[in-house]
Amino acid sequence: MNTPCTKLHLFVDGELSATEAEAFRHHLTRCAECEVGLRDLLQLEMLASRALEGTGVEEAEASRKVTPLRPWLHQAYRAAVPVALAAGLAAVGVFHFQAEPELPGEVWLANATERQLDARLSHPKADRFRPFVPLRGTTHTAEVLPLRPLAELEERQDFQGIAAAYALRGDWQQAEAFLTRAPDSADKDNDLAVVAMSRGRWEDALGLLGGALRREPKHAQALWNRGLALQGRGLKRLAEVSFREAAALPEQEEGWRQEAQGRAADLHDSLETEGARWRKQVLDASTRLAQGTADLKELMRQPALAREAFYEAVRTAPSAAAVTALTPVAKELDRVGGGSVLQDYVKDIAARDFAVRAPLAGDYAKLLNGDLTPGLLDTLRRSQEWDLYFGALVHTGAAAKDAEALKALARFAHASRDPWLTLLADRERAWSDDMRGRASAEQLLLNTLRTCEAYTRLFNCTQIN
Amino acid sequence: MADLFNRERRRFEAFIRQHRPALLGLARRLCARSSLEPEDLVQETFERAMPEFAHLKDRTDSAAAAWLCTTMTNRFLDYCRRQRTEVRGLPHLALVQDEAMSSEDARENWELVNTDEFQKAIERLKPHLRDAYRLHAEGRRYTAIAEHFNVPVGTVGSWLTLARRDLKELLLPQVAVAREQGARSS
Repeated sequence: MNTPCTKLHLFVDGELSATEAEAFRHHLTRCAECEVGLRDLLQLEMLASRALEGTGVEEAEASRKVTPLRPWLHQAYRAAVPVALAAGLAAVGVFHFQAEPELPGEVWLANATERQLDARLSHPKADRFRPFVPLRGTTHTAEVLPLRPLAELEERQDFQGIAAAYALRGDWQQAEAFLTRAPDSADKDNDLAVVAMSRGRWEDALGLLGGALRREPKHAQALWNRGLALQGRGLKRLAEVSFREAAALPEQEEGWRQEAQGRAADLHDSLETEGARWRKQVLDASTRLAQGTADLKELMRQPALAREAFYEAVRTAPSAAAVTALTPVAKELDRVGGGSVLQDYVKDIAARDFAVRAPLAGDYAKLLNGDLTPGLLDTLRRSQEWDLYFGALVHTGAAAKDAEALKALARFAHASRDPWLTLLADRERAWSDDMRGRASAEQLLLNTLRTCEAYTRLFNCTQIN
Repeated sequence: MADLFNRERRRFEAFIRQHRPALLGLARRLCARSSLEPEDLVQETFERAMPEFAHLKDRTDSAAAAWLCTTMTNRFLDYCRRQRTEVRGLPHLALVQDEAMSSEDARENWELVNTDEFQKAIERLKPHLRDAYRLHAEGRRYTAIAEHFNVPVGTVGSWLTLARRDLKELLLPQVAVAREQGARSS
């Protein structure tokens, strides 16, 4: 039976949630049985505490400085209580030492030789570098939090210190509860972001870290954690930038600097490898489409790949007939995506003058194989072949450095009514020189990524990066 | 006069130092997730001890600890009632009953048990109950104890409940004997 009375032990042990604890406190005022139980239990615990823990942790020496007695105590008891005893209470009862004793390092796992948390906490004691070793299986850190230093921290109102101690042990709920009591600061936002990341809430974390970095643009832990959160959300290019910024900060532990560099390099390599693999897949599929050897049913199992291959096949087609031959693919892709955007595109391009277009399409095909004809971008910009110009700008990344080209990209994307082209144009805008490194670039990429993901499987959203 | 002042003051300081850690440990658990500050609860308890110190200072440690525990429990229940009446917008009439409602029985039972007897009693618990209770007394949370034994958190709750039940059964017969002896000798 699960009556409130069964929760007495949990309540006394501080194991109930805030709502449950409040409900139990209400229950306690109405239940005589629980009141008796509570008194009994507390007497036993008091005895156990005296017998098992001993006393004397707070050995206040007469020489230690203390803050004055709380004012309300003076009001209530000045008249009634012997002065000597009040002075005794003032000297011992209120423990706010001005000279704070050093707390044992075990609170923040000082003796650990490796770390299990990839994120970084703001508290200096909890942010000493140790090589990261991801947690295997379910064994959490065996080091249990010593209670007395925690009490000391609480008396000092060092809620971030307490939260950090809990976070290092994976107790995120406790960490969050104490963080909310800490005053607002970049450090607090950073640590709350670490809590959010522990739950895979990347975008919440990014919001908090954005706030922290607005307050302190060179906040080492926030830059690091932003890298992790961006990586978690799939924005690897921005993540790489964030880790490079973290690595470039002066006056930091060599270990953090090296790991930041290593993480940036890994992200870079992984982007390169994934990008190269994807481009090869697209190129192979577009070649099969151009040669008429593609198995459409097979290809449509990966609609994002089919779509990219289709664009390249149209762009590199040497004749109107070759473009028209791609109508079945356009039809199939439009069926999946809705509308007739790609069929319209085929019709539009098939009607072009191929005496003009064919040589440009040939140069574009060379570009896809890594061979950029000199002056190609200029030639395409002046031509009417907007799709070739669009493709060339995306492939060369030139739009990021050229505001006019960027505008053209957005214009073409809009005119095409093709959502994928709009997403690509937005991605290029986020990467433009104008927006590089700004919080708005991160926001634009996040929005673009969210839009992309809304078209389930239709596009390759890892390209939005 | 000054000597007397200082002697009294030092005795009261020693009294606070001796009992404050245990009281604060309990207060932290009681006040967890409430707006009540454990330090305030403990301080209020010692304030109540001041006018009683003339009697308390000559009593056994166990008796003084039991008295402090009862007083702190009263203060805490007072807070709970106040919170309830505030929530409901009722007058604070219930608070008047506070002292009258305090359970003398619980205190009288426990003030006769000393720490040595407790040490002996805990040694007699089943090993897993004893170890779990010890870890708990060191301040570890249920999750930490569960990880230590590799058991579900719910099991830790049951073990601690059983440990406390057994401890009480082991300690309270001694209380009965002690009380009998007291009755005979008086």
